[in-house]
Amino acid sequence: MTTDRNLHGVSSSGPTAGPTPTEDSAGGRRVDLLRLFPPLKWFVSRRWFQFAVVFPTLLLFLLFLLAGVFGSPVGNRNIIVVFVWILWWFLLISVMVPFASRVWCTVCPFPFFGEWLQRRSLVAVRAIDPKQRTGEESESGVLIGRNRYFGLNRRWPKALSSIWLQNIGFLALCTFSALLLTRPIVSVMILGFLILLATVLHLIYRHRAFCSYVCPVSGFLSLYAMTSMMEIRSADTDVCAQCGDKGCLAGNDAGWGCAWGIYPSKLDRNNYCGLCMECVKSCPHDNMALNLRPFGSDTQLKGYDEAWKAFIMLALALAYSVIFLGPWGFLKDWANVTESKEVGGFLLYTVILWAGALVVIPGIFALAVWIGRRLAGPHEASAKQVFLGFAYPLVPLGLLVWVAFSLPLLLVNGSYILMVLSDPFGWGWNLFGTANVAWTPVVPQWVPYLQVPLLLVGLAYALKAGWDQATRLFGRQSQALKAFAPVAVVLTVTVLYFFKLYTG
Amino acid sequence: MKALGMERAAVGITIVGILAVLILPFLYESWVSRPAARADMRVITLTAIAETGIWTTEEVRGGNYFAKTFAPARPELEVGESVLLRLKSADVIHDFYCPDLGIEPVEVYPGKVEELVITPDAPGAFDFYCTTVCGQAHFRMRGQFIVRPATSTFEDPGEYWLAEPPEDPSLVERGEWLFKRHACFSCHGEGGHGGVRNANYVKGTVPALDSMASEASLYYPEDIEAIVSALQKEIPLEDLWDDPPVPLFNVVLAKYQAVRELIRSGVPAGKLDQEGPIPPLVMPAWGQVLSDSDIDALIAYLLTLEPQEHVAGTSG
Amino acid sequence: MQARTRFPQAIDLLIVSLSVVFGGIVGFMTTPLPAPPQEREITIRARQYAYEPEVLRVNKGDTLRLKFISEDVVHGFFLEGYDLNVKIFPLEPEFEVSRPSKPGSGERVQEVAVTVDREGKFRYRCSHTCGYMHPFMQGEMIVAPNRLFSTSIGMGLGVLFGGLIVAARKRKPV
Repeated sequence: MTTDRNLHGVSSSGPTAGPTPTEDSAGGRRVDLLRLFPPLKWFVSRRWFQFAVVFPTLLLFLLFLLAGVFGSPVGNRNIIVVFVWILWWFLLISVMVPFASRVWCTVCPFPFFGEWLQRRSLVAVRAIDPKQRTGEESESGVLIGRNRYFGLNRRWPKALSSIWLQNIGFLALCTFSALLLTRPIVSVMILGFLILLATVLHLIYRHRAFCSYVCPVSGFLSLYAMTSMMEIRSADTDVCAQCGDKGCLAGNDAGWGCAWGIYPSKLDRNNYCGLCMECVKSCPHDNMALNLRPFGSDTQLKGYDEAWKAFIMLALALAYSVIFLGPWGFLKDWANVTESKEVGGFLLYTVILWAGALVVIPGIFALAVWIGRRLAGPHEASAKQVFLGFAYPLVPLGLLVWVAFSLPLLLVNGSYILMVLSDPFGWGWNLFGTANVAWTPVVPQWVPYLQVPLLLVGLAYALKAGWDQATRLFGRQSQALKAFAPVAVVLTVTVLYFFKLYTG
Repeated sequence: MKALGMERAAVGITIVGILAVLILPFLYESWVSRPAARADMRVITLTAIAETGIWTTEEVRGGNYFAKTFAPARPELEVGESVLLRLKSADVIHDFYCPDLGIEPVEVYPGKVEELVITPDAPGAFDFYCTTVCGQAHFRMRGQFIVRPATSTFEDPGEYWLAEPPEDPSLVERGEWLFKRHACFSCHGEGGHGGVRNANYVKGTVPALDSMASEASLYYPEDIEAIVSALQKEIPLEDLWDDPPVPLFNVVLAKYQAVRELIRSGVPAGKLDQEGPIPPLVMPAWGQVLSDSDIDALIAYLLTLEPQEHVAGTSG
Repeated sequence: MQARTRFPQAIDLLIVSLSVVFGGIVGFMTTPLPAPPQEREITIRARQYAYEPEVLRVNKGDTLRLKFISEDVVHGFFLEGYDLNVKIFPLEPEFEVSRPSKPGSGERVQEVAVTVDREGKFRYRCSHTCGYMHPFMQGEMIVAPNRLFSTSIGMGLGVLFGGLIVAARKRKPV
């Protein structure tokens, strides 16, 4: 597994300098938003920044839990279902991820209590001065770098240090999506469980173990953040090489060390950075940059777990388009098992979903990769490198497929948002006068005309990304073309099938 | 640690904020939204549940909807007492209809609350119904307001829902079971004695079914028995034309065919006032659910009913 | 190390765009022609949580005489793009037809005629809360000629072929 996901202790001489960064992660077409917008820089540099952006979402989240328990049992009259599965989901996949990477993690309430207990502070920093070992009043807790933490702060098990747990967790969640999206109490149980689990894990493991390795949302955010137009990177890694403080990783009295266990100087992909902005605060050389960058800039998958995440997300987009947006009632009965009582159908659907996501789709893809490699003739790149390289195009494609899928959910059912805004609990309130808005689909007949361009753009990005991978992996252009052709066909056929589902 | 003052402020904001979110919705509901604070009268909240077909006064929420079995409501009122009725639905759209208290059907959407004031002016037991098909249990979805003094008892139709069909029944027994199973009594009254008012209906109340025999000119028990026996043996009545078992067989046959067609295809309820609303109680097209032999069983049962005087103010 | 993400050259973008447009035109022109318009009598059955027919294939110009039956509870039928909303009552041959653009326009009928004057794919959804899966209760009406479908297939293939041409172009090594 990659080293930028585990904090391997901090020796007194500090970690060695990272490798020379690639051209993509420094220079090139990057615009540092922190330099461009000084008020933004000021805001994220405050100690109270994280609190200010997380606390409101925490309050909203608690309100949603209350609504799920005490409010109407009907999904589309309850704020928890409407705001989480219609509004938040759409904003996440269509706005937040493509434009602002893992900015949801910046404001997510799940680690609020856990991190409060782990740091024993909401805004302040606990750090010792390395020159005087007696800087802190109490010697309790665990010292990591220069920060003092409470709880056990164990290292996360190496065997689980991948996104496999998140892959399985997300698949499991989605198997029950018919129940999750329609019954408020199910959302309460799942989301409530997740925040409890996060809190418990913060007491046992160091940093944001829940966020990095367990949270199902984090699983797909990590993959699609690669396409995002925003990133945090070290502005000049030479400065990092000469820095003796390494506060970004070890922490100092200006900020905690990276809560995600990453050494910011070596950060070359968006995947596992949750944009918490601690590094901006703790860097003594003001060397962290929040860059605007072209879409689809992170192009390397580093493990089979990430490739499988891409397969799983594609399989789910297919499954949801067929089951929820399709006309076939028996499939909905299978998914809606607690009401239809069709246990046999549900088991069949579960098996097909899991087999499709974990075996069949990856299998078809692997076959295409293998054929391509055979066509290309002898080449230096290893099987794994080619597989991972050609799996990458599924990332921009998958993102745009999910945006196309989420669009009708918002346009058709978005009027419920206005309704629950005025009556969050379904108790008959009318806070803003919009409680009696009738269900009003917004131009639903135009939805296919919006989905087609999105999918075409996704295919174009995917083919371009795949071609860039091919030329990197294979020396000669003709070889690269032969190697990539089967995968290109698979990608195109996938998009054509989505056209069939959405328009034909 | 640095920034202690800021830390204390953050902790304070956290505690206050969380408490506020946990408490404010309930405060708002009790003090601002809930009309009991504004109204000087008693408030009765009835929540409709489609799955078991009941109106309940218990609180139904996301957290208990699946877990709890709710009790059907029989709210007690006093003559002359004004009560604020709040109607809610826990799942789908229901219509609340209480004809004896002058309440025309009120559409109750989930997540909305319909409020109306009722003031009963006579003692009795007043049934209320749901008049839009809301689920499997729709036709037996009833409750009752008991306005003291109560003059009739409430037979919970739930038992008929749960009862297994009778073993080896006679045609009439099967018909009686079907009559209860499909809750015909909900509209046609207990024992088919009628008396249920249908708003803006040209005949005022839903027709009683207890005079079927005499309307078919079957005046003697043995004549009724002969027809029932023919139906039991599955002999089409039309085939008996040449050797009719009863006098005035043409009248009997015509009535039988008319009733059979009516049960099969339903009939819309004629409006008393053409500009007024559509009467809520409509004879459904049971042919979509019942077989012809089921319908014969029902007709056989109805032929055995006898009319009864009913006391004004009850629905029985 | 990460792949170079060169910004595509203008000529490459032009080639792909032209290919997409060309593919779209080919797709558009090769849309299967519809059958001549006819009158169809269709009974649409609604149940929790699907319609029958699940997919309705008709031709532009057809006149559909629609009857509705519900097999369990009250369902809605909202046809996209046609300003048609129906409330279907079980055990009753009558249903209520209204125009969403004109609130309060409901009337009870036993049959409603719809002239199919727009081509493409139009979904019909339930518009009357009927249970848990109500938001997902939908069917599809596909009106031939379905030019959107064939055009999009053409455009998709156009992306592939445009990409192929771009990839096959001789270029200076970078």
